[in-house]
Amino acid sequence: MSQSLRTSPFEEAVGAEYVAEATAGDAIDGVAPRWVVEPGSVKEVVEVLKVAHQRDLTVIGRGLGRHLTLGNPPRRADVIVSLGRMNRVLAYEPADMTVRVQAGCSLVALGSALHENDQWLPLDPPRAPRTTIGGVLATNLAGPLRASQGTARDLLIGIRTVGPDGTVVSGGGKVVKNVAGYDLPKAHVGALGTLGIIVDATFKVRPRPQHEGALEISCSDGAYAAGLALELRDTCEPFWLQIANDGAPPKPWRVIVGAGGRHEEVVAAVESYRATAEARGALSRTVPNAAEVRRDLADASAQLAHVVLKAATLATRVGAWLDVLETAAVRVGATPRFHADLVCGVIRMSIDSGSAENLGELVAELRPRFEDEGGSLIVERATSTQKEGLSEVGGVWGDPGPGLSLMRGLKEAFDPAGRLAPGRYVGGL
Amino acid sequence: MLPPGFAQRMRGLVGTDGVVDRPESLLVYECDGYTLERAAPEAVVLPRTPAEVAQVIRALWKDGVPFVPRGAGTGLSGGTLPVEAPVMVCTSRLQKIESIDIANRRVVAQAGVVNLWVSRAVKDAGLHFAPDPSSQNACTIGGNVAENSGGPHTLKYGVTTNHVLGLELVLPTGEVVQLGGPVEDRPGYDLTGLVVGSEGTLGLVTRATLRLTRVPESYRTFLAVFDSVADASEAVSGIIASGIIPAALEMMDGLILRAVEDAFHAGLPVDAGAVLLIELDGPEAGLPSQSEEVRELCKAQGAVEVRTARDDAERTLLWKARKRAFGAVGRLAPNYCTQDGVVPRTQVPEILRRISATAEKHSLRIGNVFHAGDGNIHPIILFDERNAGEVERVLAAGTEILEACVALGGSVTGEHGIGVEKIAQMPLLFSPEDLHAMATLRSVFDPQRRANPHKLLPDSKVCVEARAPRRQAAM
Amino acid sequence: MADSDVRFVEIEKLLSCVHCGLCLPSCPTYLELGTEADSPRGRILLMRALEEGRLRPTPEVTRHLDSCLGCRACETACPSGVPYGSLIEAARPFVEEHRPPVARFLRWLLDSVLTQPTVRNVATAPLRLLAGKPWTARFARATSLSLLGYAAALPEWRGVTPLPPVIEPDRELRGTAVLLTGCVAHSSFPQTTVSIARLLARAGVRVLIPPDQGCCGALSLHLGNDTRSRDLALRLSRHVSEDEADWYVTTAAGCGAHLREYGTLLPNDSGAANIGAKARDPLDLLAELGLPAPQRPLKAKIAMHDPCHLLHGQGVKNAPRELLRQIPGAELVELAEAEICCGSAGTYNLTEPGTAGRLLTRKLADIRASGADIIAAANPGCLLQIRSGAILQNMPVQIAHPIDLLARAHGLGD
Repeated sequence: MSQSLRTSPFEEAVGAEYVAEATAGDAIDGVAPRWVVEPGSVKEVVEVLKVAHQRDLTVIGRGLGRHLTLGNPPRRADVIVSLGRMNRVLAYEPADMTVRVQAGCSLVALGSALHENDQWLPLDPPRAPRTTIGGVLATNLAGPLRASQGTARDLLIGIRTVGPDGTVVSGGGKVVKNVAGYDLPKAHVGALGTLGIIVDATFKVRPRPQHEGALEISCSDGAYAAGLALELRDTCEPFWLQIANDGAPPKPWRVIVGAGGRHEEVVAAVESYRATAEARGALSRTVPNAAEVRRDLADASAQLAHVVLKAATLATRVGAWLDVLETAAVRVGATPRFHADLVCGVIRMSIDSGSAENLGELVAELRPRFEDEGGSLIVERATSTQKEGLSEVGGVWGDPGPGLSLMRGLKEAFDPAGRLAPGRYVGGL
Repeated sequence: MLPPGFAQRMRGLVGTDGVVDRPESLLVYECDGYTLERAAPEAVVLPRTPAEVAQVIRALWKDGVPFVPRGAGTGLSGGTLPVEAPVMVCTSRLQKIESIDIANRRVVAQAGVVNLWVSRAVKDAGLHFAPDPSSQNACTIGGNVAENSGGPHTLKYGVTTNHVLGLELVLPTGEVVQLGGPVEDRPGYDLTGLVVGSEGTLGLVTRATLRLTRVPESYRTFLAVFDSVADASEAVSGIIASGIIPAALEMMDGLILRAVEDAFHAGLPVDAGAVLLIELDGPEAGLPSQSEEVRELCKAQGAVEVRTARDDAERTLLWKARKRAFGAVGRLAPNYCTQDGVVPRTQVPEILRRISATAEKHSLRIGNVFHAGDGNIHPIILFDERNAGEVERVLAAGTEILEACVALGGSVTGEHGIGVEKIAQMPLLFSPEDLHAMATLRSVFDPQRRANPHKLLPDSKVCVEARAPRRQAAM
Repeated sequence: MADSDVRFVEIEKLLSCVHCGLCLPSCPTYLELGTEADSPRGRILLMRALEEGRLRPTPEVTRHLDSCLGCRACETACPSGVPYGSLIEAARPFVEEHRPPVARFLRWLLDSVLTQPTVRNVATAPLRLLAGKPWTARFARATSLSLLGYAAALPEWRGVTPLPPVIEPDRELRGTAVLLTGCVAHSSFPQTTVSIARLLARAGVRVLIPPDQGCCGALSLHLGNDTRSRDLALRLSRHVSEDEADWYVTTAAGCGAHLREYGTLLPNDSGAANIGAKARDPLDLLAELGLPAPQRPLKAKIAMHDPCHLLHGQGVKNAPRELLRQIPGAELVELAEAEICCGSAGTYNLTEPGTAGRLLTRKLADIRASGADIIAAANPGCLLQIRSGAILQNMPVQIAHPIDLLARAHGLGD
């Protein structure tokens, strides 16, 4: 190869028009890459990775770039592989209820293809309209729908990735039930592209619910809201179930429970929730546009603030933790807002960026308490400066638990030279 | 050959009655539910607690002895056949359900707990463990985890991996690792998800944290009778296309119907070409209109009759007939071999056509009872192992059917696993690079291949051979 | 197939097992031991190897076959319809021949003592002195001797009430039943025999009680003595077979299940065929015929233990529950693993005390968890076994035959 580093080593791989010098906007947590490469095919991704392999360059995959705030700052970022051109739906057979799609396809684009057949892929990460398939898989972000529909790991049935030396590896398949070989797709879900660049994926899809409905109940405090939410969960399996405290002061707590399905199912479910609320003496109101509220809740944490802490715990512990979280946040001078999923036991606390100077302190205080109970506390969103303050307290992830040495083994086996998003993941992987 | 003093050392760990090493008593471990190949281990060790499992495996590691894990031995792909692994570690004494957390819908169960015991233990709270393989009366949680078991209700509720939140894994060195746990979203790679379905090749699972699911408020169970499997298959597509996700959508063909009716007297129509067992579940409010739609859809596809189970007893009887169909086939022939393949749902009619052509070609009787909603077929090949050449014909037919599944875009196993049975078919599904990636994954957990060697992945020795010579087939 | 080719059973019967393993958790010994050779599937494989001559009946093989309780729970679980009970019964005499002489003699002795009334009465005379006495129970607890536990579990000896040869029905005649008093059953629990006769009469049944009946042969077969078992069966059928009988009933579920096999056991005997075809569990019969509403209340939580030979051997499960539910004040509660053997199993608790003890411990734990005041068990063996365990562990629970509970509720008991 005779190209000089100035003209970019990737032109031969993808064509000159799809290689660009990186700009300031391409920086990931303040680490500036040198090139942004946009391959148009798996073959081109392979070529790009081969070049990176030969030149010992580090590679970070990118979709629409909306979720790059998740993860620790990379140790190095030489090349961004942008999958924006690989955005096609490769195969969709409505009667099989499966779809195979390229990683760069946005959830919206896929959604509209599925919509024609009254089907959907029920994944609702924040900023879903600007999220790609690769993005939602690499980050494993999920919204209210996970309460009934699961996360990406539950819907993914096949995957194709390109390894750091350009090897193409497929796992799973394209049928909804398949136990041939190891479940390799699982390894890549939530792995931030540290084991391979995801190029396409196959999902099982589901019928779209014909109707949605929701009920909102105002509550005086978080613990009460959490307790009521659990009662609602036991009344009738919710489509989704959130509690939130995100309004202007005095910021009442809300329990919002969603129902989905046939019209009569939705009506009956909402009525049963109302009865449960009334039995507790709580006032409820029907939410007019349930689907919109659901989408707003999915986006809420990302829109409100620059810093989002995500805590995971048991559903019955959410109420108690809300209080602890709030007290701790107020102590460092922050005004927290909360969204919690009472089926999955996930709490998101958003704080204004300005009051997050003491983020490290906050995390140091709270994280061990969650981890002691088998839970976790991660920093889902923060600025690079704020992340710097976390280096002493376990970074954005905290302790991944006793599996860390196996995780390290996995990373070393699949990316021995550590060239895929190095440093971004747990334990500095 | 086991090292000298091996049995005695093991008895020191697991008690005097915890080691089986007399040839007469080892004979019974020569196969699991897959009986075409047989080999007895040299010793079986039965630890009583997860801690004893770790001690046993540590001792095996020191002795350099590979092992085969075994639960109830109901597997159907020979996953517990000892192949160059003289010691079997059996989890049948790990029977404790260690904790039940109703409010959070979690259970921690030891590996030897029978699948159905979990649901039974939480029944009064209106919960259950959703994966319900047909062997759920007998198969263990450890086995379910190893095989990523499914069952008739996976169409709506998913398979084992969707309901396992954490595992305690004993690595081949004897080191114990806790993966995941009752709280979701632990940061880091999804090791739990990788171990589920790994067929005991990454270590031995001793405990599992399971997610419980609410028992549906109501059911509607239908038996739709058709003249042909083709009509029944069309009805399956029709139901799926309508946007209804039944809790289960099962098909039985005429041959199976007659065997099952003989065994259970469930009132099945023995002269039908095929029946669909359709179950809808969920809140009562949604069921009447869905039921009506399902009935109409079946009728539109030529259903001769659509019966509704009138009460719980009738529903139970229908399910008993379905779940025990495999065993009922034992009445038709001294041996049978259940195949397990998957095709995209739309290819069900085509694969059934090819199966019947295969049956004809090899002069074999093949019945079909399967998860039509998932495209997960289970052709049952009847034979008598004492007839010369019949076993070979069965194997050939099975291979042909699996190859057809792959050709139609499917897989060689939907729930039984690869075991020893389907190693030869792995290269049909996966490229050498894919298989290499799997071998790499294995090496992270078990670099020396001590845990269940020669299973799941073709190694260089067996890659091309249909049958490994060291494995003795029952003739 | 020529008989000479068969060692003890036709290979086809053994081949009907497809090795699926669904029987495993239904088998009490597998549940306790976790060893495949102590499971139905494992034993069938051993029997097949014996039949094929691949294995010899070594003590190790015999041990696994002996560990079988003969409860036939596996038959209920088996989807392939494997006739396990008849397989193991065919294998028992075969392995009996290969036992060491001392063991064979002891088993022969046990068989003789239990099945011959005069010998039995002499041999068990000391037990009568101890039977049902409170101090026996205390002594049993102090010494932890299970034999004393059994003695304490027996009802206090008050002699056997002789029953008239015919008892006429209290109301309109519904049919005629021959009551087989059973050997061990009648001498240990004579009151239960009286109770069932009165209950049947209350239900409109004419009850015939032929004197000097002798043993039905179930115990002998269990001990592997098939010749003696057949002799006893032949004797009984000659003695009691009645053309006018509609049913043959016994209060011992073990005997009842065995009677149903008479037709196959003695294929050339019309009397035996008659008994085999008409054998009926008396509780099942009472539930079918119906009784007037019982008047005397019994304020108690009652849990049913399902005797193996009632549930698996005769398929009776709901009848006793339905009858007990009619008793005013009685509340039926669930007993976990009600269908799992208590370890009694004929003479099993005498020949395999280790495993029997483990099963009893398991049963007592389930009973404790059930919160029941009374455990109803429709088989004398189960009654003795569970009651002795409860006595040794000083548990405040009553163990009773449902027939006795019913008789009391109907004002027919004592």
